[in-house]
Amino acid sequence: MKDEEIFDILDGTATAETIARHNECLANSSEYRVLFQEYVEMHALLAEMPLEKTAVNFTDKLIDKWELSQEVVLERKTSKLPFYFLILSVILIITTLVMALASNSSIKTSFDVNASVRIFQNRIFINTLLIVNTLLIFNYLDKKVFKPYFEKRYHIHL
Amino acid sequence: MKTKETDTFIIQRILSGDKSGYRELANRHKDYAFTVAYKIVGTREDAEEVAQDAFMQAFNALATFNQDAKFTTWFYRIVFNAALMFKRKKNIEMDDISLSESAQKASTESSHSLQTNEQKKYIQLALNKLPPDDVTIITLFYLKEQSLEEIAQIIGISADTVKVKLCRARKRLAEEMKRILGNEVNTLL
Repeated sequence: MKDEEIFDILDGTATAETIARHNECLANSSEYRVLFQEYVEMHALLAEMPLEKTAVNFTDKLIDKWELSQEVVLERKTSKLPFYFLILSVILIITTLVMALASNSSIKTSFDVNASVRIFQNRIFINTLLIVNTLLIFNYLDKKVFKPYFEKRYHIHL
Repeated sequence: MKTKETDTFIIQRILSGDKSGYRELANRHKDYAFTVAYKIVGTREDAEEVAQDAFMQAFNALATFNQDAKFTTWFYRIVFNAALMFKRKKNIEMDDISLSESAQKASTESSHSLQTNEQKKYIQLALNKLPPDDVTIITLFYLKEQSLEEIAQIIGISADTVKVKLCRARKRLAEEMKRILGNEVNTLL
């Protein structure tokens, strides 16, 4: 008898012919009887194999872990904010430099500029414009970057 | 079929934003997932870690789950792979010293004193000696929740191969039990 056939008998899927040969082996071979008995007992133990129970707080721990991982994903999504901050800073610096250079330029333009455009050549106006823009940018950064960041970090609502 | 419909229903709820579905799904399948993991990794602590990891992976990939398929087949494949990865990562091997000590202890006790718990312990010790796919095949087959075809999908082999492997795995398991318990096995069983 092959092992496969013995397990077919145990699983209840053996053919009549296999069962007949099995009965013959049982009657004539003590070695086969020992082997079959071993398989029968092992099969019975496995069939009684219980469904293991998890710890009582398994689901709570899992859900906590899951929710925490979702927060991490959220933080990762907002982690582009320093990048935006860097871009804005670069734009601000470049704008400041360009405007400062333009106001200090010694090159005189020969063509007549419109009165409304001429105001941009006024140093006081340019400085005021720069200060206002800087304040606006800082205000924007405070609302969109710093405030959400510190709220998230310290779990407080400012 | 009812289970399949209910699982699918819960998944649809989750995908439409109902977060309570995660808890329901976990409660429904945690014991089976834990049992499969436990049979492969061998300790309850590690099995719990593997089961948790498998659930996390499943939750993350829930949107990609084909809802025409059976959830448990898909999920047990994740559990199986998670357990496999865990075992590789930790390079878990049964401690031969504790194994031989257990066997010695068993051989000095009378067969009558060995209770069912002891028998289960030795089954687990023997299972720990088998390759993970053999353990999974035996576990899923005897838990009777999956057909041979479904077990084949979980392991990633054909149904015919599963049948052959199941036979070989049971034979090896019997041999391992015999080796662990020596001549005591017959009286113990």
